[in-house]
Amino acid sequence: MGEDHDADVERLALAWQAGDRAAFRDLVLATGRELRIYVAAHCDSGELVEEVLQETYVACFERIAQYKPQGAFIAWLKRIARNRLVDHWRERRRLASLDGDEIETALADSGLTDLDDADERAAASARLHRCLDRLSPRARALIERRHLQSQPLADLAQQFKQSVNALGVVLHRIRRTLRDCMEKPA
Amino acid sequence: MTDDADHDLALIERWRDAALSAVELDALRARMRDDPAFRARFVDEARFHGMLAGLLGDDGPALLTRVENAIAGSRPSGLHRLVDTVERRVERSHPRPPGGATRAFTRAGGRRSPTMRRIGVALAALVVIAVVWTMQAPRSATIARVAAASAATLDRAGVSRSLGADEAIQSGDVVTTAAGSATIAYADGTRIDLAADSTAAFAAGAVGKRIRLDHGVARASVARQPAGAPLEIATPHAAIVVVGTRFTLGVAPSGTDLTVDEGRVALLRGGERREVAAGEIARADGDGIDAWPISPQALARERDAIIAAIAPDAEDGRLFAIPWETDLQAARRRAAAQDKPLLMWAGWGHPFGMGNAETVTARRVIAVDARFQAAVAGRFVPVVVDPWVMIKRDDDAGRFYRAAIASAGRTDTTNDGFFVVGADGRALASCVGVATVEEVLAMLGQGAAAHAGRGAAIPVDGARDAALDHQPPAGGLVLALRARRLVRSETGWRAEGGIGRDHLWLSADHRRALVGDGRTGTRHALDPVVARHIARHAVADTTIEEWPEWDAAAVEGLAIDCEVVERSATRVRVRLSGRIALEERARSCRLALIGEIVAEGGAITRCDLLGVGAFRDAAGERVVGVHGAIAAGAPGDRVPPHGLRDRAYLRRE
Repeated sequence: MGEDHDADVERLALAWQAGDRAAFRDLVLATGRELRIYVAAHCDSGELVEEVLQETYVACFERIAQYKPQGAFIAWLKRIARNRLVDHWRERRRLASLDGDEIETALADSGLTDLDDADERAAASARLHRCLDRLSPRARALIERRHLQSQPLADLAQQFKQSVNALGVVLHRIRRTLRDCMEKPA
Repeated sequence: MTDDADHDLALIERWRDAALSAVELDALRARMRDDPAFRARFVDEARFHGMLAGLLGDDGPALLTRVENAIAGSRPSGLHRLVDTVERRVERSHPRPPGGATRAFTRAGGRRSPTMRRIGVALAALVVIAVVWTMQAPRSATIARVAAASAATLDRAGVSRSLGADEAIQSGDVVTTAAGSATIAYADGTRIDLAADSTAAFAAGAVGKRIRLDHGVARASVARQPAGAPLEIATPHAAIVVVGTRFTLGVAPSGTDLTVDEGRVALLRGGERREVAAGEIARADGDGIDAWPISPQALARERDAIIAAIAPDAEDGRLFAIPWETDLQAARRRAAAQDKPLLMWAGWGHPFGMGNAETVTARRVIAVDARFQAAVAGRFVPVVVDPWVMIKRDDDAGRFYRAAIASAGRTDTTNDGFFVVGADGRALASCVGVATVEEVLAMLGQGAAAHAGRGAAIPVDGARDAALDHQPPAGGLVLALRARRLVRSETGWRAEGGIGRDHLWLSADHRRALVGDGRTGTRHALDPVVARHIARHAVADTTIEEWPEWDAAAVEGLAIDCEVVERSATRVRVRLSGRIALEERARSCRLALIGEIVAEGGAITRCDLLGVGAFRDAAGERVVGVHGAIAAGAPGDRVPPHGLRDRAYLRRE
């Protein structure tokens, strides 16, 4: 994002703070992608990403009066999102320890630990976002159905007229490609 | 990738689909605890998935709409987050069986832990709170319109009036159909048809459409809903989450029934969550959620294909090519008259009934082998016996049997196998336990050779041990049952493995209850005594020597309806349709059942029962089909039901 964009965002934030409700809509549209990239770096499901995004903007809406204009509105948004993520992962870890669930414990530990490497993970998330645009339409459709819509492999195998195993291999290769792409510097 | 890596990846994918069994889930947890490298890989894959899924979401108008809805509704975000968290945990932590049609089955994969039950209760409360809140959301613009209405009422802000066609539905409106009906249509094409005697409240939720169905029946056709904004319907017992599908929801005081016609619906109750797919049914009630892999409606549509898969294949014809006697005394008389040795096939559970593993193997491999049949023909008098009965019989047949196997060196009760027995009652050769065809053929040759010049036959005493000499009930019915493991694929239904056999005896009272006395076009519930008898004694996976009797307390759910399709002075035709839920400590069964009974001139000329469902026990879960039809008089049809080992068969329900 460039300086012009940041300035635009700041102007919208101030307008909204001054009571311009329409500015809030523009602000969500202007910051949605960057906040999504940040939040996605710290979640283990699409549903969690959507929930944190929604809660962040709602909290932001309710607390706009607390925002101190200093040209860092997106950073303020990310701090709110980070607090939501910390709450979420701590609750997950608490529930996991109650239930003795090693899987949830591992995920929650990872979620909390990675919040300390926020910049690095956000950069990786941004690279992955760009890599997704390079996928072929078919690969993109497959990845969307599997990861965004959470369609079971068996259902996808039917849709794509492949065996479950074969489709699993195809998905693995696409993800491998995405990982390779993500690991390259921008 | 290495094979191990492939396996790990497949495991993670199945975990993501919540398709791991209880055993697999336990194994996965153990690896997470004990294998740091696997743990790291698992977490990395899960987090990569989260990143991918998150990045693929919409960051434009759809996000804005959700945010604005949330702000307009001031939905308690902390509550939503906790509900969402718990739902996600429950979905993954609660194992589901693998495989398309069977994936929705049953909570029997493992009872929830106390913690999960606590979470379940919490979730139930939270769902109720969320629904109550949603229904109290401020009224706003039109959320849907009335597409059709007949004798229905609308309650808005405490005022009740008649519901008119094309009327606007606003958040908080309650529609009640008494003797009438109503169709509510949303702008996106979603339609909700309310049948008679139904009450539903409509609201615009913070995210997506919200309906509360208090009682009655709602048939829904739901257009594809935006990502993250599913349609949610709450009932007094459960909630369902819909992305886009067709289904029917029935709410009665005792529970909520869901039948999915198309797509997939998530049914939630407490901490439980079930994905219910097309053709499946599920019920939520005070005991939780039960799901069946096929609905009676779907079963009726696929009846012929399923029966074709279950029906006796070539095994039946080959099995009875040998003129087996089923009465030892009759066989002894024949052997004496023809001066031939007996070939006694002893199979625990009965060779033509619910045999144990050795018996089923002998039936599938030995008895149908052409060489075996040629070796038996004309040289022996073949007879089948059930050792469980023979070792107990206090009569001449029992004593003859016990002496014969003792002379073969078998003094314990493990005496499944083939015995060549001379007229003097001594075993001339034997082959016990699992044997090859060649071994049995060698034994036959040895026995036939040893028979020459043996002593005189022992006189046969006609007295019988009445306690173990069972006869079908007078005026009743005998159904031959066949069970098969079924697999549903793109090309249809096919069976796997051998045929499970048993019989179902119905008393004269059972028979009368099946025919009933209702008029044409009427429906009524099947007499619970008959329904329980069928459920307890006809529903088992007898392909694996499954003990076919269920304890009376195992019957958890039973709903079988009778529809009188035809009733005239000379002919009655009744259709059965329903479901059975059985659960014991070590096994469970959820079966959809259909059937047809035809009575002509006072006699039952047709009685077909077809059940398909999922069984779960220590061997895992499988789809099993059971077909019963009036026994046609094959030699095996004289074999008493395995359930007769329970002396209360036909007497206690």
